[in-house]
Amino acid sequence: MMMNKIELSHLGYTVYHEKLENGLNVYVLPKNDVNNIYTTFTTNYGSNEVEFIPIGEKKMIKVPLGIAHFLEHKMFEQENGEDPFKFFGERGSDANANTNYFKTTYLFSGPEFFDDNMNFLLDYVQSPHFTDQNVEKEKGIIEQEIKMYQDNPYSRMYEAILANSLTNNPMKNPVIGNIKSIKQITKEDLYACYNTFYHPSNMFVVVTGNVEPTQVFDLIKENQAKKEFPKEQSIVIKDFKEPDTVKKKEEVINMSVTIPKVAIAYKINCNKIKGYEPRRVRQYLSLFFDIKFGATSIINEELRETEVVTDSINGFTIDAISHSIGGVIAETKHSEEFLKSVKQEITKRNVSEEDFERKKKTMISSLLFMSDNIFGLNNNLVHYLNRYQEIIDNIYDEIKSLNIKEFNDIIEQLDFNNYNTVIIKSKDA
Amino acid sequence: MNYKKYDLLSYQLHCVKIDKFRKSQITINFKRKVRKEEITLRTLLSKVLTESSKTYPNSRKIAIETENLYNASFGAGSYISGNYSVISFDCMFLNDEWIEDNLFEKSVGFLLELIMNPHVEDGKFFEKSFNLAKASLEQEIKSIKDNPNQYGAIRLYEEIDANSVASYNGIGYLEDLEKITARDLYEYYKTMLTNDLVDVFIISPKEPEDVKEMFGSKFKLNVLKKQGESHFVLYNKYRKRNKIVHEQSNFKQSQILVACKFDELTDFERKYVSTIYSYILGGGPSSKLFATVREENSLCYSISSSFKGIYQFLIISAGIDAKDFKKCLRLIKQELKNMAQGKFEAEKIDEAKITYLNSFKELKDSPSRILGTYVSHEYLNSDLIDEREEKIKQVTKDMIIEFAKKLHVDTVYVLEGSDDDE
Repeated sequence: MMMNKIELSHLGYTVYHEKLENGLNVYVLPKNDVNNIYTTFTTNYGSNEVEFIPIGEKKMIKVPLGIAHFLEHKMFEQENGEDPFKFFGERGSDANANTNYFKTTYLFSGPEFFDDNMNFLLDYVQSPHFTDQNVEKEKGIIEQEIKMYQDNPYSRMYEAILANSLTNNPMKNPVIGNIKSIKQITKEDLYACYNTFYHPSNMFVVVTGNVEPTQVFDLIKENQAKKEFPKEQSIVIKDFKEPDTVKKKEEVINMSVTIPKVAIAYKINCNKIKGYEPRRVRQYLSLFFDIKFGATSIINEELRETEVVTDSINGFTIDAISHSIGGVIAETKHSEEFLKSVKQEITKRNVSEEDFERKKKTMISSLLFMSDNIFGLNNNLVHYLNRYQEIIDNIYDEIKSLNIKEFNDIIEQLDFNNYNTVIIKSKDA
Repeated sequence: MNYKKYDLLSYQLHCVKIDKFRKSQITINFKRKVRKEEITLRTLLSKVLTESSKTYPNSRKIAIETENLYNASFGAGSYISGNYSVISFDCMFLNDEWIEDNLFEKSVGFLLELIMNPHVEDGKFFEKSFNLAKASLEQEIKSIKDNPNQYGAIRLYEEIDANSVASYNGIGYLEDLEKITARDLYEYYKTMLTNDLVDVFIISPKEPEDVKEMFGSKFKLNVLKKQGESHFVLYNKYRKRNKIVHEQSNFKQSQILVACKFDELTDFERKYVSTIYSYILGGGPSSKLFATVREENSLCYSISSSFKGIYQFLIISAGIDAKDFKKCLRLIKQELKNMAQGKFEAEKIDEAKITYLNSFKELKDSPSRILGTYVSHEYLNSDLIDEREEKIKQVTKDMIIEFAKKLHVDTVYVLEGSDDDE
């Protein structure tokens, strides 16, 4: 397979790409003015995929919530008892893994022993070893992890926003699952998920840092050539139809917090705006919430001066694929006033050209700050590859081309009638 | 990389020149010996000075200007470094060659505007900004108990010794905050300029001489300063029988925190042996504590140890169910005993050293972390990177065992949660 070169406009980097015989895609971004190397190995499988037809079978199955994350934990078990953390540690490298709604990533970073580390990463992820005993053992550990997140009000807030916005979209479920669901996980479930979603054709490697691309490609090809993989097959995942309306309009969660946290989240369908790609619509939506409700917004100044809030409010957007969720969050004892202000403000769709152009400066600077380190660069590539199955090589130009005329045209067409609110406060508040 | 330190009489200027990054950073520190009654004043001051200034009279205008500077990130805070309290102003911004703008001078100018040109009326801070900052700090202090890790750490230090500097809460105290007026704070601000020891740290692609000329002309304090003293707080007294404290909380998860003290340590032990020891004991997924408490016994998700050189404490912390506290403590103590008996493999020492050395390679890829080594060098007499890379190699198994024998468990603090499975 030929090596492709992708120049990242204005950032001064080139990404090299090859697709291997077994379907694995490999991307290398050399950055030779640093010492370190950061490598990620990702499967396009996250917590969203709970109903699917396992490879080699005909019927749809449903697996317990939180299984992708559970599988990630169990990946570190090796049949020969070798501990990946020990292997990487002995080479002075950091290793870790993470799971979100869309993907699971296994990673290492370190300036030395790249060849050893790269081979080991491929080997341990490609040799699953799930037993009844090691599955049972993990349940206690993940239970503690769940409790840790449940004690974090922002974690709870984020999960509640999604659970109440979405009806059928699998992002309504937390990535980690819940204590009841993880107790149901069996090794058979894990193998079904692994065999279906961890085929090389559903995975990709990204290496950023002090490397030479051809050496990386040769190393990985040699490693993969020694192994046998089943034939590439397409994966069948249960489809869903997500309505534009929200599932539950209001929720109050009792947690021991000193100051209540309040959020309002608008459910927007970015996929049906005439004349614009959904990704472009999402960019403008993000700008809209930042300008209207961020630290430089007039409403923030008013809410602080009238003592409705003490610290700045924040605008946010979440990409839930079928829909985007744009919202505002604040710490306040005056939830009614805060929510009323946001609802009034959102009807005023116009923004000043001065604010708009200034926000573009911040988008440029985010891009440039991100490009100054191998972690930011790698995460950025992984995000686009997972979300869009391609590298966007002209983000800088795209940002420059954003303009207020398009902004106004798009925002005008958006429907802000579907929203839900979440309040987190103490029982006695 | 090129480092130059200039004594500009009323402050010290530390310039690090490095070409490979796309961003630069400036840190301006004002420090003095810590006094409990001043902590809240200093935290509040750092908030008030970033709430508004003479030219940018409210926080919205400040936020707009930072965005104009291509999202240069400005921040200020106050922290305790052993015997000293440090008010720190930071700014990170893109280098000029990436943006068609004279960002370096503008960013420096803006940072100095915040520090030197406050929003003052009638001999006091502008009341509106003052009140907003005060309300924000009040909220921050009250919210400490919402964060289990933050709350647990503060409580642990209070239980170790409520009379020591180590037990001071670096964020502040509500009873002190209530009493501070805009006039008081302005008077205190003036003493910050005249009495505090000032250090400016800059990392950028610019020549140190050019930085000195530019800074020297913009930043003037008309006072001669004396030298500071050591930040280190030394404790050799440990409890013969460890103290165990239980406290109820509304969290789901419980926490166990174990504080260990030491017999007198040498400089080398404090700087180097401690690091290797802590890595082997509880430095991550390949550590003894992780293997025993998490993997073998499934009692926790996270467990780690951390050596606080400035106080000479070792803190072990884990998130558990309260019902498992006794077993968890027993396992921790067993691992501490194992370390003192040399029950760890020689490969672990090599692994720790390689990790340490590699972490320096990574450190050299980050401008703010590089700058941080110069701050530690100045305040804590830490060795610079090259020297650290050489000295860590000298740590032996015997030294680690010797260090481990000097350790004594002093205080155990358990923050009990509901352990609710719902």
